[in-house]
Amino acid sequence: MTRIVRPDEIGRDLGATDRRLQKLERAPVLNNFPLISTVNRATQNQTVPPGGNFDGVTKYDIAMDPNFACLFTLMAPTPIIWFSYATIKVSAPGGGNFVYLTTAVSVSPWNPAQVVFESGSQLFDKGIGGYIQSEHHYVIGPQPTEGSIGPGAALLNITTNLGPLPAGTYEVRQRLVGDVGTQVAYYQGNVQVLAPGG
Amino acid sequence: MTEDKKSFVDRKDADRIARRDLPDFVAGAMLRAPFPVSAERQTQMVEDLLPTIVEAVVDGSWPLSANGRLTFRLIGTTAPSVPEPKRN
Repeated sequence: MTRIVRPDEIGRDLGATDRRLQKLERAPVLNNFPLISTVNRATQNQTVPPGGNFDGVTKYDIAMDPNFACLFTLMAPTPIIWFSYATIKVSAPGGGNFVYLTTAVSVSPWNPAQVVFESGSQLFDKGIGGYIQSEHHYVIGPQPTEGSIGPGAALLNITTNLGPLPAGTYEVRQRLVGDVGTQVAYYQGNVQVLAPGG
Repeated sequence: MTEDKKSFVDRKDADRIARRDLPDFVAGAMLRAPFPVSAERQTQMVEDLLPTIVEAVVDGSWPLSANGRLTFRLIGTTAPSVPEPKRN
């Protein structure tokens, strides 16, 4: 079911976003949290898989805006934290119930066959109507830990025990795998990657 | 960077420092989240992150700043550019 958004609602949302961004721009260090960021993002409003439905096995890379790939460079072995967010809507034209989102790191440029690390959770349920917001956080370090928030955000427990990432330039992407017959309207996805210092 | 950094912080102090600094860090990070994250969930996130951060402080791979605080550097991010959709 769709609903026409009133102009005043659009203005309210845009205003809130602007206020948050202005607050960030005015405070380069906020709560002990330096904001050294590049603006990167996944292509918004994409359908995953781009054609057809999930097959229960294949992981599909989320398409990235080509001008905004999510890259980071480490000069030495370094522990990192990431926060991975997604807003999606699950449909099931061919059956199925759940879709799972993972966040993966590959040496840059992105190569899905050479993912060096991946963790996942964010179990999205077709039984939840409309768009679902969820988040997965992860620390790659001496004893990696992870967690999730959001409706039904169970961990996938696919992580491996990995110490600090070696020096190098990496790219982060989100990926989706779903039960046979499911399909996703992927509204937007975002990842923050953080390291010690500032 | 973590090279040649050795910690002289014991586990008890590392735990105290992480419990002091992580809540503000998570709150700051969540200002960039594409959707609101409740205080309750932020507390849950702190608890999730705590064990690894404590270990990293103890083994020196997450060095403290000169004033003894835990610091974080945002090295990569994606960014929302449109408002989140309304739930049906």
